[in-house]
Amino acid sequence: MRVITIIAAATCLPVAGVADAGTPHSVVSPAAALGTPLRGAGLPGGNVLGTVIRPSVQGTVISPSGDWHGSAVAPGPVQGTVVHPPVLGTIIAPPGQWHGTGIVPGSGHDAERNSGG
Amino acid sequence: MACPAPVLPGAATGTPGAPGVPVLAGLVQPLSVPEFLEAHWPTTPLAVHGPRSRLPAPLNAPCFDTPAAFLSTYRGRVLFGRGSRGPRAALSADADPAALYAMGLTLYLPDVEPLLPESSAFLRALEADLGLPAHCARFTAWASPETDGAACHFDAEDVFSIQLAGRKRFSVIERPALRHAMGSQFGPGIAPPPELVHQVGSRLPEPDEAEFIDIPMEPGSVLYLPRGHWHRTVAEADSLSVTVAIAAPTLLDGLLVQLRDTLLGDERWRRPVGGLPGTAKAERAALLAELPALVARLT
Repeated sequence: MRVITIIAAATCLPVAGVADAGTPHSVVSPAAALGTPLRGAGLPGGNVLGTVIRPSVQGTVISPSGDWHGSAVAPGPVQGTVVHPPVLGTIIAPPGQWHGTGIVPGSGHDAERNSGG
Repeated sequence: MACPAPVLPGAATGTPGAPGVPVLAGLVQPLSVPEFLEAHWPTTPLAVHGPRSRLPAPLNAPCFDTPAAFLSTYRGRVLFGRGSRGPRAALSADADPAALYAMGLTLYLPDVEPLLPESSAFLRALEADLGLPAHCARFTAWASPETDGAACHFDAEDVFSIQLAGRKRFSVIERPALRHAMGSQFGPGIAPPPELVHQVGSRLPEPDEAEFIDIPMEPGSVLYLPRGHWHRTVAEADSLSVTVAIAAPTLLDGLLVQLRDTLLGDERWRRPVGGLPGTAKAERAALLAELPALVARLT
């Protein structure tokens, strides 16, 4: 299982980072402005490209098989494309901003806390 | 539609919620409540077995006698999947649970409480026995046809799984994959929740590295499983169980509420971010310098 964390911060530069396989990894970006590109690379062979379409975004990006999307609570969404699956990723905004979670299309697992068995 | 009143003689260990009648005792006997709280809550699994008739009254309602009886009564949301093939599931608000069950699917049924008029008193009494605030426990149910069950995962809630009809095998680990897991459940094929990344350190937990113990569940069996323990199930005969899921607030939850309430009284913490570059950052640094003294006064 691979996790890459991309943290968007305060100015307007693109970010790129590499995560070792099986190791959560943080990449700190100086950018979270409108149109800012975000990019992270997971190993082996997992890359994600995304664009902040509103400032100060946080979302979870998860895709075992292709395009991803994340849902925002406020003030707006983030969208992007997985260019080399599989990728697990988290985009986290600066404190005080919003956060949202990404979903695997077709999964109902986030719909209910089905604890037990 | 509510379940009819229980008819089994001696079904209850007491009236749930009645003074001096701990519901928890009816779930963990032969352990006493102090023994359970000392040795198990909130860290160590416990399995106890015995006839269903010894369990507290709501668990002996006739609608729990068979999966078919329950599914014909149940009205509510249904989360359905085939756990033997993985964790993917779908939620429906209007599906016929009996039809889904007949298709060989495992059903998770979250809207059990309207069926049981006594459930509210039961849950409030259980919360009191555990020393928890009200309304953090809830009733749910699982129905699995023979050979299916729940895929491997761990929960971020504490669970009492109570077998009411049929047989099921729980496979669990004794030591947690993630002690006191917070957030939401996780397992192979389940997207890791954002909170998990901050709890696991350098790598995500893997069930392949764990040693599982099989626990055969028969009507009347009770399994207490703290959050963070890998588990999976497979029905060995058509199976119906209820889960009392407990989202107990954590020490962190309490601290954050108290800290927020305290800081809300200071207008400087209520200042919106933004404005001239660096302004908010400088004010934040000054406020952070005052935090240790504030934290020291929290109770």
